[in-house]
Amino acid sequence: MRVSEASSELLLKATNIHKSYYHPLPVNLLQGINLEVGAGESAAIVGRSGEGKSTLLQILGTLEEPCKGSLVIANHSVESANKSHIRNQLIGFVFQSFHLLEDYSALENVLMPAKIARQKVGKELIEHGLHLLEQVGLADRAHFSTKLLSGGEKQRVALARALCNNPKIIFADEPSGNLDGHTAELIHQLLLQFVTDGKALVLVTHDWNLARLCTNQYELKNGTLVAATLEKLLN
Amino acid sequence: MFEFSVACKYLIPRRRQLSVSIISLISILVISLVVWLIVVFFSVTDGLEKNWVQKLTALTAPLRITPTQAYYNSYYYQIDSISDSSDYSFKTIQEKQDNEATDPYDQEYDQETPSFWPEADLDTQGHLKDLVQLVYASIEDIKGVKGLKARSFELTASHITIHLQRKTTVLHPANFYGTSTQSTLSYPAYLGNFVNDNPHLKQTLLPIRIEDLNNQLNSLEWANDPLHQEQEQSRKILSPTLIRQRLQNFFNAVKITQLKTRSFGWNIPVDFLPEEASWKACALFKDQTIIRLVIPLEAKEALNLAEYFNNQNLTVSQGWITIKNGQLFWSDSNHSLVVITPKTPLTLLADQGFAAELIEESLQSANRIEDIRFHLQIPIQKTSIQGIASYRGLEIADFQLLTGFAHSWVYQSEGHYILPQNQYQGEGILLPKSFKEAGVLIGDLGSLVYYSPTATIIQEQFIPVYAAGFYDPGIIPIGGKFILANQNVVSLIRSSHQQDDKAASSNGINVRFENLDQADEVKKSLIEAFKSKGISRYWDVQTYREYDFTKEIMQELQSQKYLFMLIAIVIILVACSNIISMLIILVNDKKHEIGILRAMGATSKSISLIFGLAGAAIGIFGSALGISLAIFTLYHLDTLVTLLSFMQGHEMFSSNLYGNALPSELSYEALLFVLLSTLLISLLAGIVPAVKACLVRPSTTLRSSGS
Repeated sequence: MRVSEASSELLLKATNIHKSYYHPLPVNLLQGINLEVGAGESAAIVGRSGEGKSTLLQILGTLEEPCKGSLVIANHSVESANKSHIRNQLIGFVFQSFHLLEDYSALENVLMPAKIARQKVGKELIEHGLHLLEQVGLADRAHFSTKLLSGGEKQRVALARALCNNPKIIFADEPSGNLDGHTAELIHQLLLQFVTDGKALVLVTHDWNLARLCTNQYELKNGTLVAATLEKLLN
Repeated sequence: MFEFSVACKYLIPRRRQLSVSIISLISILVISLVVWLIVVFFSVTDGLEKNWVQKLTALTAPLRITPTQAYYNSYYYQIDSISDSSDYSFKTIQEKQDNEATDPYDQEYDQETPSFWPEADLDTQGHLKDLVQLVYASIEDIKGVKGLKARSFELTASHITIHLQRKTTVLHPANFYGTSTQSTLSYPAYLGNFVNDNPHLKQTLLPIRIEDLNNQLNSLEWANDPLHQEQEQSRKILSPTLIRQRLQNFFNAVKITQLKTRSFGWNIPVDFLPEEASWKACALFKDQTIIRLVIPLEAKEALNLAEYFNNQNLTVSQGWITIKNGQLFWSDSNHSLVVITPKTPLTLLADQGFAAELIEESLQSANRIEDIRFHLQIPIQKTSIQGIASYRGLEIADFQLLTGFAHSWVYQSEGHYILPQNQYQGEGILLPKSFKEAGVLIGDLGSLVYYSPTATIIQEQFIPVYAAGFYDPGIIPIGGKFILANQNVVSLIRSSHQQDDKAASSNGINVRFENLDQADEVKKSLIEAFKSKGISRYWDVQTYREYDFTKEIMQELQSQKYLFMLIAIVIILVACSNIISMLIILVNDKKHEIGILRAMGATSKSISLIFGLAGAAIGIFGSALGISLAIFTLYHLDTLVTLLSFMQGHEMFSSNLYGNALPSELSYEALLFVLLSTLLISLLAGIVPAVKACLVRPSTTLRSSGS
């Protein structure tokens, strides 16, 4: 399903995604999801909890296998052989509970994707990391252990980390769920700023205020994805 | 490397992951303990084996060439028995080597060769192949083997009898005196020929001791007559001229620096006594009269001395001898200043040496050994006495061996060892250590017995011999019975046996070289050379591992090594299973982080590698710790052995089997084995957790809220 008329480059194309669970009883969580997100677009997926928003995001982000359906990310058809490469080079994740590596400093966290990509840890890379932290306003916290950071700071570090390898799409799962209003706004701004750069954002939220900021809004209901009604958007 | 940096991060102990830290610490400790044990054990056993092999090959050789039956049947060997120029007798390998003519047979003089004899083995020019010379030529052709030398050996069986003539003490207050006893040792023995240029001999020869020297000196008076050796009364004393000559030779080679008194004491000559002195002493009484005064060298010994005499049921009293103006007095608790008559003997008991110097002139006039004289200087209880006295009642306490003179025991001269022989004592023989332990001393006389068949009877023959040295045969099963004698003795006895009686005698060529590891290489090139010369069927080539008398022990050593290696591997496995459990706990602990890393694009291979590396790091660190501990232990092995012996209450390692000190050289083979096996096993141990780690689903771990 594609609502946007923009003829920009297609960065995410999910076709007929199905996902079912069988324990203890069969649950057909996702039933034929189609989604296309182009460059410069941001897609918000809204839904009640338990609808399978996070599962969908994880499938789109290659973290979980769909039972059926295909996925193309930035012209790469997702297969098990290239998943790691796609995760490392083409996409970035921002999670509700941040998921930072605890034994590392903020800067080390930010540079981890580059290290995984086996980039040489040198002056250049460190500067790149510091620049990313500066973008999220945390230049002075670079060498802090992540344990010492506040929730908002942690999420900003997570965002900087997601940007490390200059990905095409960012997947965000309730990025401001654990944050207070002011901090949440800051995160939203940073996320949307990313999209203006010719990238794409897919975010999962139950917060219509956040969804409204995105270019496209979808509602996950009974295992299918529908474009959000104007009524929902205005309310 | 990203994986390595993460693995390191995981292994650094943190309070939050206390259980993992403790288990990894235990893993490291266990592995280092196991590595320590293995390295120390293997190093010591390796060293022991090396020592044993060295001793084993010291008197034989690392390689041996022996004639086969084909050799004994050959025309080359048999022809001597019908040739006049060979005295119609078979020849040993040595004789064959020394002989210039290959074929002694002369058709004009010698009888016809029997028709059933094998054909002569001829070379391409039609000459008889010289089987022995060809072997030596083949050995000479081998290149690149250091210290390569070939010598023929002869081995035969004989019977040795040794008479042990020993002085004993009889104590009687009126008359201390030495008497002698004689016992006889008699053993069947193997006899091998002494090779004077064997470079390994030095390691096995035992040094001459003071008691050996004393015995050798005492035996100078006697002639070795095997037929009259049984009773002391019938022993034959040499003429004074001969004794003088032999004493002169003895003292040419030995400089005596200290003497001590024999166990029955030495009567101080009157002219030794000073004008003034006061000595603590014991007086021996008979019917209330002092009949002997015994003076110890040290005042504090007087009490022990009194007790000793008491135990001998002698009437004794402890007190003081005082000399005033040359007059002797005795005082003790019952008497004070009793005058001692000049006839009362003053006996000195000194088990420690005092300075002595030979009066050279006394050798010219001595009729017996007791006649030689020494200038003595004896510090008795702080008062020194001195003078010239005869050797009677004294014995050697310390000496120096002078080089450049012939000794009457095994000695080295110009790089060669010499096993001496003389017409009075007979042939010198080198005895294994077991004889020394049985009480044999250098200079003891005896005989080798063999049987010589004549036309009518089998005659018993004796070769007079004397103990001229001892060697340590190591742990060869027959080592305790293997006697070395000069070539002519062995040849003589061997020729009395049937030539093909393999049990009683053997003959062959010993090939010596420095590096034992080259044995197989030398064997291979010899076999090839023999093949090309067409003589391989006449000769057997064996390395030291294949000798009849070593095979079992070498295999035993080998299988013990394998057995321990097996045990070692099991222990390492157990130690490494610790790593497995530690890593599994680590994986469980780090599930969340694994999920994050996977989400950031880490491949499952990377994740596996992280845990594999963590396992290997523990293995390597543990091994390194263990090896350093092992090196430290080997460096201080003596202390450890002393401690263990102390705890055990007796000697931990018998010096008979293990030598005087355990070898403490680090075995590089053991090191390599341990390093490889711990590395391999700890990597293998990493596999289970690594598989577990890459099965972690990022979606599951990331959905549950993390930090």
